[in-house]
Amino acid sequence: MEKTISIKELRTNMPAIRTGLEKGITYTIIYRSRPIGKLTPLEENWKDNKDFIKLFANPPKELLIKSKKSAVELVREERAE
Amino acid sequence: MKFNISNLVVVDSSVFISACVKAEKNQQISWEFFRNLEENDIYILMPINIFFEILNTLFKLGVDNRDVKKLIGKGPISGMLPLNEDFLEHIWVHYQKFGKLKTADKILAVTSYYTESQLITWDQQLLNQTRDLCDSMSPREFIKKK
Repeated sequence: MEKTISIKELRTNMPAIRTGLEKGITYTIIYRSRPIGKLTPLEENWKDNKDFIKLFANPPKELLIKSKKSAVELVREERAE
Repeated sequence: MKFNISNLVVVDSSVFISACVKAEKNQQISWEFFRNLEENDIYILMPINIFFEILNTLFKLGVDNRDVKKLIGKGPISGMLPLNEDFLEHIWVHYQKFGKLKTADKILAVTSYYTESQLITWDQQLLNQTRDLCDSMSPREFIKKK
């Protein structure tokens, strides 16, 4: 759901807007009759982050590789170069 | 640039790489760690050099270039920290607190310190060097705490 609010409403109704964000509402902010930005819930904003995490929780076979070295050794080598 | 999100962790490349290396002794725990992040809505804060380090290590280990490219498109853009003037301006004051750490180690440590996020690594050396100033732990310790 999306709502449009003015800067003044943003200032005066911050607790209600925070609750709205937690419920998944996106706010479009209006300043001097013009939309200037959006406040969006974290989950929507950070979906790509969660997808990245999922990728490493269950890596696809094309990312599974063999190495005689441990992950720490591999990263240490990378940082030593 | 200060993040006000309580559920953030800074994760070292060693954890990502261990999830991908077959026969790596910590692979299963790394998978469990990432599942734990997913289930608990915990997000990753990642200085951009760490993302490149992960990609480059996988590439050097033989992951096909096309698959590395696909991974670029799936990066955690929302938690990615560019190493720009803004970043430096905020962290530089803390940068020297971490002594003689390697650059990549220091960027991870100072990001964790500045954002008050946990630093997760399999690297015992990095854990030892950062524990005094950061909330650093291994994925195993992180899972136990949750």
